[in-house]
Formats: sequence, structure tokens, C-alpha cells
Amino acid sequence: MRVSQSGRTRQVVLVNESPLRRADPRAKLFISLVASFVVMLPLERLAIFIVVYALFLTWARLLPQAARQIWRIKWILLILFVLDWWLIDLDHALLICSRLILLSGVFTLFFSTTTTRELSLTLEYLRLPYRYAFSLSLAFQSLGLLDDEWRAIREAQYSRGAVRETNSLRRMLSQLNDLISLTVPAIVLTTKRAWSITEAAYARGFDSPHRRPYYALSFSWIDGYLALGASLVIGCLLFLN
Amino acid sequence: MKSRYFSTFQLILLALFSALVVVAKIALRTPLQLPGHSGIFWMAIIVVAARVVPKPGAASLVGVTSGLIAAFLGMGDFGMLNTFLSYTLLGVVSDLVLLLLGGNRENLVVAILVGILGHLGKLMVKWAYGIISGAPVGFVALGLVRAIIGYIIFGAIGGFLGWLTLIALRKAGFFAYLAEKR
Repeated sequence: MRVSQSGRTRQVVLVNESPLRRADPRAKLFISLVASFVVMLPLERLAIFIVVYALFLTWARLLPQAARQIWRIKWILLILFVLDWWLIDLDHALLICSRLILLSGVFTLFFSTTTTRELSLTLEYLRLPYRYAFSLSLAFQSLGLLDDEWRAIREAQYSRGAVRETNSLRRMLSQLNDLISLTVPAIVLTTKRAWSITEAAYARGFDSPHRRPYYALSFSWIDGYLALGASLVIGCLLFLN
Repeated sequence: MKSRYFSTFQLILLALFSALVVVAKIALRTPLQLPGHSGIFWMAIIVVAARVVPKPGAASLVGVTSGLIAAFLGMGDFGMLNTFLSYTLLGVVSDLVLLLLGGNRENLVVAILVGILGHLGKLMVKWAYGIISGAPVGFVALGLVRAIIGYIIFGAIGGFLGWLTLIALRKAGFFAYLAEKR
């Protein structure tokens, strides 16, 4: 899944070589959620958890992905660290930076090893109605199409001179009226596509009471061990003196 | 047949609007790189979505869905959790504002207020991050002052653009077309 506009590209990167790729998404979601509560811990315990978590990510071959997330906030971390050290003390500076590092990287585990289909199955398991899970899946699948449509609209309007490339806020404000030549076709085309998809979904028996999913999640003993291991590590850090 | 809160068409439409929010976020790029500038298009889309599906929860659903998409695409600077929460709160605050103001969703003032407050909701997550992490409040506040001004301006512009889009859609007979599709 890839979206590329104005020289910027975003895509869903799935780490297939990770051993967690085959793990049940419910276990991964559980570990990520529980791990995000660790930010409440004092510095020593937080440091222990970060080391354990880094080792776990290394085993799961996800360390580069997590490091990339953290690298994005390097300047914020640096400024915060210097300011906190200067204004308060070194321990406080380390604590804050550790918390931010953990919060930035903790969900890499889930998002880098889970497909959007698995996510919607997980949401269904969590009692989210199938229709909502389907709409989420659909939104992911439609990204490429909407990306193409948006690019086509933009190029068409630029070539007609309806909208000009903006390089200042003032120019953007002066041509605000012209920007509806981008939004209106985008909304109309999206609505048209939504209607086509609705008809296709009904034709295929969407909303049928006897619907069965094509894929099903399976919670194996490895997933159980993973969830249990994470609970034990975090429980020990939270409750043991 | 059991009656549903959102019809299938409305659900699919909101899902596609969510994808559009993310595409618009990636597409819009001003050389100024002012904080919150991409809110112009996505707040416009939220305002339109809340009018096209005029039910409480529509904007929240767009927020949650676009948050999940953005998190999967690795967008945002503070990690995936922050990205997801930011987009979600943007939708939830927009819904709350609409709920409180009620009335006509095509009103200019309502659209601009939804734009400003919804967009500020997104910023609140960054502020909460600062507080939870224990960063000095003064530093967080100082750092956010410039961002707040940017978010207010671009949120208002986004709300205004949404209102202009709604007016253009009405003139084009879009809502009459939509009434047949429900």
C-alpha cells in the first residue's frame, strides 16, 4: 500500500522476516498497550524495561523500525534533554527522554508486523461490528485509488490555471476560493465511488446474517507465552520493590 | 431487518473520507512548513463529512479511521500512538463542537468553529504528551504557542474551505443526488 504525492511517499512497511509476523495480532496489541503503561515507572525501572524491550525488538528484527521512529524526534529529544538537565537535573532529563523514546517506539511492534486485514479481524474479535471493521479495511484498500484521483484532479486544475502552486501563506489565502476546485471534485468522486462499492457489497451478500470470514485468527501457545511474558516483566517492574 | 445507526452507504462514504483525509495530508505541502498547515484540507473534509452524514459520531469515525491509516503509514513525528490519538481527538472534538452548537451544519460560524476547535484537539494530544512525559510545562507551553497560532489559523481556513465546499456542492445539486442514495 503506497501513497505518493508532491514528492512525498508513504507506504505500509511490513517486516515479513520478523518472527512476530506470524504471531496473533491480539497478542501483539496486548503487548503494545501494556508496554505503553510503563511510562509511569520511575527512571531505574523504565531503563530496565527499555533494555528488555530493545532486546525483544532485536530478536523480533524490529529494532531498525523503532529506531527510525525515534530518530524523527532527535532534535526534540536533544533540546528537552539539554533544557531539563540545565533547569532541573540529569535524572529528570533522562526520565523524560526515556518516556518519549518509549512512547514513540512502543507501537512499532504492532504496526510493523500486522496487515490491515489482520487488524480488522482483531477489531471484530474485540466486538467491533463487522461493518465497521469492513469499512476500516476498505479505507486502507482505497488509499491508492484516492491517491490517483487526487493527483489527477490537482494536475487537471493546475493545467487549467484554476489553482496555482502556492509558496506563501498570503498567496494561499488569496486563492482560497479557487481551492474548492480541488475539494469539490474530490468529494463528488469519492461519493460516487462509495455508492459503487455499496452496490457491489450488497450484490455480494454484505450484511448477510450467515456471513463467515474467509480468514480467521488463531491464538497459539506461542502467542500465549508472548502475552504472559510481557505481563510478567511489566508486572514485576510495576509491583516488585 | 435490524435498523443501523449508519447505513452501509454512509459507513463506506465515511471510510473513503478518512482515506481522503490521509491523502490530503500527504499531498498538501507549502514551502513555509508552518505548523498545522495541512489542516486546511483535512478540516475541510471533516466539515463536509459531518454535513454529508449528519449524525453524531460521523466526524469521530472519520478521525478514528484516518488515525489508524496514518499510524500504519508511519505518519507523524511522535510515534504511531500519538498519530492515532491526534486524528481520533480531531474527529471527537469536531463532533462535540457540532453537538454543542447543533443547528445548521452549513453555517459559516459553525464550520469555522469546528475547524478551529477540531484542529486544536489534535494539538492537545501533543500537549498531553508533554505533560505525561513530565517535560517542563513552561517549555511545552512556549513551544506550543507558535503551533497554537498556526493551528487556529489553518483550522479556521479549513473550516471556511469546508463551508465554501458545502455551498458549492449545494449549488451543484449534490445533496439532492445524495438524498436518492440513502
